[in-house]
Amino acid sequence: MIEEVVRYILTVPFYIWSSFIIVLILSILSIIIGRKVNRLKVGEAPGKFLTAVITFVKFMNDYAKNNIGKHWRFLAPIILTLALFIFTSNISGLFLLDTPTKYATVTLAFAIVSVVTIQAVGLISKGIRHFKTLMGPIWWFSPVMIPLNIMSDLVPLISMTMRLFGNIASGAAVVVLIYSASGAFTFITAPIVHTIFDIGFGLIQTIVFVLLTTVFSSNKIDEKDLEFEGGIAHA
Amino acid sequence: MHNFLQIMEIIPNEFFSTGLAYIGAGIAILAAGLAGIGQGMAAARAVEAVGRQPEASGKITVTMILGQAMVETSGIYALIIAFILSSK
Repeated sequence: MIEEVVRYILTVPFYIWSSFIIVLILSILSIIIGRKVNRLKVGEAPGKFLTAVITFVKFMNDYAKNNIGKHWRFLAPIILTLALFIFTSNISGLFLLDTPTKYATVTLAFAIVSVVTIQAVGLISKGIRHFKTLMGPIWWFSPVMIPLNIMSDLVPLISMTMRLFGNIASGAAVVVLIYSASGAFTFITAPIVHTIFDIGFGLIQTIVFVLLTTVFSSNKIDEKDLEFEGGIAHA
Repeated sequence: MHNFLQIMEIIPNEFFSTGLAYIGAGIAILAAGLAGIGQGMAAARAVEAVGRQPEASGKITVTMILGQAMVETSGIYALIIAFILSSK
């Protein structure tokens, strides 16, 4: 029994372990930061690191408020987690890990989270009317519109998977090519290449993923949701 | 004196098919170049728009990135096909 479990664990590839390690690191950091924020008293100035974290969380909250409106409390933690996790995964190749987003299985998981979030935002905002929007504007045309709308809801699953996977995997392939081309001068090319393909493209793809999730879910909401107490428009 | 058809009967083996797959990968990646042209046009228009209305640069940047991500999809598909072909 134990032998089988150990053998099964050994068959799990290293990129899955990398993503587990990233999850562990991010969870520990979040717990520590959360405790520090809870201990802050009114009028006390937070440190530099805490200020950066608070600014980032505030930025994400405002972004969700701008796009989703009333139900921003549902979306803001999801996009914050996605952004942190995807960016840390993208740059994890610099920290002796196997970049998890280089494999289509991991990015498919991200895309599933994103698509489910989009549908959930629609359900929360419109309730049962969310399914009515599948029928399109004219009721007798609905037999044609329902399959088309279901398709257009499911296609992001493929396109978001392939976008993230293709960008990061092609970056890794180009890095390998440049390494084999530069030979003994790798110590010159390596910093440039890793800055561009790991940090630069990783950041851009993180922004694109979060942006697409937010924009797709802002298409699903009720338009009245955008005006609410404490929103950006009123503040 | 071999003519072309006789050569075609001799050569077809696994090396020949691998080489054809590499050529196919090279042709497929041309689509990525076309996607690059499209992205460049979008970026050029965004620069023009920022020059005309500098106060709207945030919205323009977001819109540009969104549109470029959409355009990029076809290039990424070409890349995936090239990957599949070159690992044949």
